[in-house]
Amino acid sequence: MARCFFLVACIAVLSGCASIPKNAFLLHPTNQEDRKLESRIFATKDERSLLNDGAVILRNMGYTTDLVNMKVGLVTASKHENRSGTVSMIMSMLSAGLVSSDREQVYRATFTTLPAKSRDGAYVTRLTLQRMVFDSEGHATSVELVKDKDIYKLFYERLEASSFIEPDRL
Amino acid sequence: MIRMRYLTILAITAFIGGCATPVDPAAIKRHQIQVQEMQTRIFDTNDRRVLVRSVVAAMQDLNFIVSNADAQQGVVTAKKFGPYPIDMTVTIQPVSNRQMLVHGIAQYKLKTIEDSALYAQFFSSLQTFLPDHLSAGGQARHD
Repeated sequence: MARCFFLVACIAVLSGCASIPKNAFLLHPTNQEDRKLESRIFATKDERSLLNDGAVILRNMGYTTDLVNMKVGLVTASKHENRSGTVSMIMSMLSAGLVSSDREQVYRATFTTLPAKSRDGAYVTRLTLQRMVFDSEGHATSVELVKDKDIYKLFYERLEASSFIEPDRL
Repeated sequence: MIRMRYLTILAITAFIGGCATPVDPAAIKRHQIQVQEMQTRIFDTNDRRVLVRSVVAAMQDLNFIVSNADAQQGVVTAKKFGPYPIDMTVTIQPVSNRQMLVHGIAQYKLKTIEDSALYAQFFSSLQTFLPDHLSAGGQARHD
């Protein structure tokens, strides 16, 4: 019993001042390369069409549009996949529900447009993709940036085809 | 039995004392001003929309998922998922007819983060996406 109380005291001290690490906002070391991979410059003044086309392409890629804001140049979308397969079910049964198993995988896409600093009458577009895995409790067990060049290439090839504008790289 | 009581008191004291804050009102006031200063910057523009757009781009750069962005009201809310989920709300409000105040509040587990390094990183990222003539953002004074 005494050990139990000692444990509670330790947890209380540790949780009393729970804080996040100082590098929580720091940019990833590969941020510059990521930005180049995710961005393109379109020489057009028609921002609305770029955003609309981007939203349609994401929908064609299986994403559901969550938010479209033309005034600030923002489209967010997500794609949900159920991961509760046989292995996950057996794990959950063996642990009598004590171990929460990965349940859902969510891909989140953010597509933005911003007037280009370097060029008048052009917009910088950026697509970022994140893959998240949630457990049965709804907690994110894994979060990672999607860095598959082919996905970005495919997206921008389609955007180029629908906008009839060949984009430049950053 | 007495030992158990002693340990119970110890556990409660440790929990309460875990985040003990100074009781001196002047010190609390000073601390609040410091926190507000680290959370705010003033920009010489009256174009709220430009600032909202740049905030959205900065949040995207920092791997946040923007859940709402209102150019008219000047509010951007975003969430960062992961082992340390962070909720962030940024407001952009005019302080005069030619200046805007950008105020960012980051929260972890419903508690405001009071780490100047985190806010400095956010404003550094914001400057990357601002038009060149807005690059020098002054720090707000709360006297």
